[in-house]
Amino acid sequence: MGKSVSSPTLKKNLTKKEYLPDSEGGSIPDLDLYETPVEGEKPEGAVQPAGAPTPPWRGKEQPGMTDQTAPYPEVDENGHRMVLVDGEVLTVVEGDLLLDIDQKDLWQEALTLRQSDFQNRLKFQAAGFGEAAINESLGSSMSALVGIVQGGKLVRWSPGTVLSYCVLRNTFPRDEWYQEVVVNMQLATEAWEATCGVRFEYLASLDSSASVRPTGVLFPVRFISAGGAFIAASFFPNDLASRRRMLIDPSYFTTTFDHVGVLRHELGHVIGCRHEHIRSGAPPICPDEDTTGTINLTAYDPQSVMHYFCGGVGSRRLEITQLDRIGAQQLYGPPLRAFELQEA
Amino acid sequence: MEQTNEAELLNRNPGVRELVATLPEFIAWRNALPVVEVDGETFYVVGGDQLKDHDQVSVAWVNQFRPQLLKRT
Repeated sequence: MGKSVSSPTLKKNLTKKEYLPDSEGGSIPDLDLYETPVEGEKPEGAVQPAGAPTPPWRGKEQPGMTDQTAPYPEVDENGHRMVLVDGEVLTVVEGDLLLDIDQKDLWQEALTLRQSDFQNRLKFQAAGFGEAAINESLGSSMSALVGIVQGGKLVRWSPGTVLSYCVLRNTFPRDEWYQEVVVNMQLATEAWEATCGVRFEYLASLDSSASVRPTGVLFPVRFISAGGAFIAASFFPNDLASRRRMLIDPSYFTTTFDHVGVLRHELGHVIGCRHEHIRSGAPPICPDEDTTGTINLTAYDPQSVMHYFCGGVGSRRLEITQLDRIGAQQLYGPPLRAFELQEA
Repeated sequence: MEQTNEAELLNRNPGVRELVATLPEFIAWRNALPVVEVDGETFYVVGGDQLKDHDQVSVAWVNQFRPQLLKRT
């Protein structure tokens, strides 16, 4: 969980290449419906570079039209090529479509809708972390959260993985801080367990470990004085095993954010969620990030547990919303407790 | 030895790591990031709570601001 909020305008673009499963990932119905251009890829269509003759399919040049225009960038903010045609700067999408600015906005909206449909069809296998099928009964418009894509596969922990942790007591300068983190971690992990099919396990017996990388747990929670560079920090499922740790800065104990909420947010990263505010639709003031390898899950949720408090949206409570719940269940299914109750 | 995805990506693109490291825009961007040291490793704090090493911030910057440098992979 970070502290400051300042950012330029954020933009993001996803391409088919970024979230297509590998060939062994099985068939994806109606795949052609979701084909979008690869960023920066030179289109195969007869796109004319700036200053080139008018392409024949656009008709004859009209009187008074010239190719003189103000300088413009070669690519737009999403990496799409831009060309000059009949004095008008157009954006190239899907290989051979030339769109003016208004058309591009409409195209982007349509793309977003197609991506949401695609989500409900996509069957994926996480990159070494297991496989999951998206529940097609879930309304795509109700999806939330931002997932991570690696090698064309959505990243998550394998089904049945127990996300074990300990809280390294000796790293905390004050015992009451250690005690608070122990309690808050239990509350935060319970919140996620009640949200989707993940299971955490607290191994208190390892809290006194002398090593900062104790064996026997997936990750330790530990105190570190980061000078306020962050409130807390964690990791993603596809991070190096040696970097699986949750770090707590002294500012955690004085922040006005809900202390359990901060850990809920960090645990969201642990199970594979990126920040919600990197999505299109978030206030531009919210921190910008590289969105490569992420997948938009349609509806933007300004109250998401993964959203910073920025641009007048977000919440200091950092609670798991209903939209978060639906998005998380697309990754991990319903809470495991639900099955236990059915078995009983 | 474990390698991050970003390190592998840069290894597949010889010269990009070195090129980016010399770009004033990248240096200015990276120098604005908070720095922390954890277990002997130096990390830059990106996005408020994400710790990235030098290769990871290099790739993050390329993806955001110079995507053409890695577009062939």
